[in-house]
Amino acid sequence: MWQFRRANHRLSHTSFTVRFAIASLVALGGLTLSTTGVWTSLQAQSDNSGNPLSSQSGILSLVLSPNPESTTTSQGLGLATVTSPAIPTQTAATGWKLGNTDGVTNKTVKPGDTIYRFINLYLSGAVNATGLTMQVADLANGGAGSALSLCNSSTVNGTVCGATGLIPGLQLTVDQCSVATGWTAVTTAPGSCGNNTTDIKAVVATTYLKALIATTTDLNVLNPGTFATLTSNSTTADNSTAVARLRFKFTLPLAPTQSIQNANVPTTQTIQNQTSALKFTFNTTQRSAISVSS
Amino acid sequence: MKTRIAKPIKRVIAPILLISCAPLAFSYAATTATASNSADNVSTNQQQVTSAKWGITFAAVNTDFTGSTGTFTSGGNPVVRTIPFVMTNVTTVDLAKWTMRTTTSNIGPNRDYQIKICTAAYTGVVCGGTETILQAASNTDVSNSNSVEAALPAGPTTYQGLIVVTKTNGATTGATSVTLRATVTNAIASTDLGAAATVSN
Repeated sequence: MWQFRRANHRLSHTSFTVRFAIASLVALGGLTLSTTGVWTSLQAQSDNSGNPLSSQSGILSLVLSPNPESTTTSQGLGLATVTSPAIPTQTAATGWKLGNTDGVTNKTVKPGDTIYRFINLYLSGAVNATGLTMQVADLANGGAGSALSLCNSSTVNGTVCGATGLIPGLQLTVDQCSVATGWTAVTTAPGSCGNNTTDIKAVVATTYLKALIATTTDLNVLNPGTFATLTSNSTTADNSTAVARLRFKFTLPLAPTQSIQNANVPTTQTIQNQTSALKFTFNTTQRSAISVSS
Repeated sequence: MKTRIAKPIKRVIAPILLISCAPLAFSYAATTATASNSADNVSTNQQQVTSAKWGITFAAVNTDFTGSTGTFTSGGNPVVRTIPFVMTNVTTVDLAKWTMRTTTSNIGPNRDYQIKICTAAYTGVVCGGTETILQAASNTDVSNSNSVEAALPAGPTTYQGLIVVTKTNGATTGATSVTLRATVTNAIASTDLGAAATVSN
């Protein structure tokens, strides 16, 4: 009895499902016929094929240039060639090293020396950007860096830095010129910018290079808003169109006494004869997406 | 709905419903632009920084110079003997001063010595270039005597040196030996290097 009821229930359930499926197919067929039927009517059409709406995705491109771009003597951050936008190629094959503090031939930095360099950053594409960060790497010695970038006033490193304070390491300060005229008198330290007070915005406070290596430094922190909006301008390359006009101040602090007899210059645990190859990388981000009606 | 038809329907419909009701979880990373002075890691494009080194030597690195006149003849005064040397300046920045340490023997009232360097070669005791007198003629023996010397003449990193020993009187024939050591010190209070510079280039 129980088996009969169960079989009967299964039969009726199956029967309902089959009927429902058939009914659905019939209904769907009718709907299809009704939508694909031939209806005779007048039609008019209009389109913009004669004047199609043109759209083009923008290009976000950041260019690093020495400042000024127009002379072959400005050395920026060591970059030898800038090709886009149309910034003159620097031809000064010599003198890329930081220094020249003692004339043409000596390009080394001694404790106490300070050297200024100037660069401009441009957005050469059509897309505006926001924010600016900087990364510094010392690629010397196979990427291991040198005492100039590994040591500071408090570092104790037996193989490189030696005793505390023996090798102070290189210091860096970065300032932004916030006026369109940019940095002027760049061959006379420390250069000039607008009123030389409020027009100069500190973006990296004086710090040892060691603190900047292998980290990302937000240049928008010390003076918030300085690089909030970076406006693209790919047609010209000068101070007025640069999105960042930066002054780099390199200082090798005074070092503890090192007395050298008979030219026996040490090779380790010394500030002497150290070489760094500094790579500066700047990043910016495309501006926020916008919704416009035009 | 436990039928052979219902199961496939549920299997198809359910995932569609789940997806259609799920919140949009995709995001697009913002585009960034990068500029670098060495995007290709080409060393010539990087900012090269080399710190200075300093030092002077009269002989090989880390070696005092010692020279001797050999014995003198007893007569024929004055008798002049010379001790040549080569002085090398490895300092890569301007040098304001440096220290020479001198030790001599057999110098006295009847015999003096003089130490000088030349930017070119000596012919006899005559300098072919610019000459600097490091030690004026003296007839006093010294032992580890330090003297502060002025900046070296610009130009070469190698100078020709000459110690001139002159027996002016007497019959003493013993040789005169001279030992020299050069020291360059960078001290905060009083450095031998040129003044710290601030430049923009």
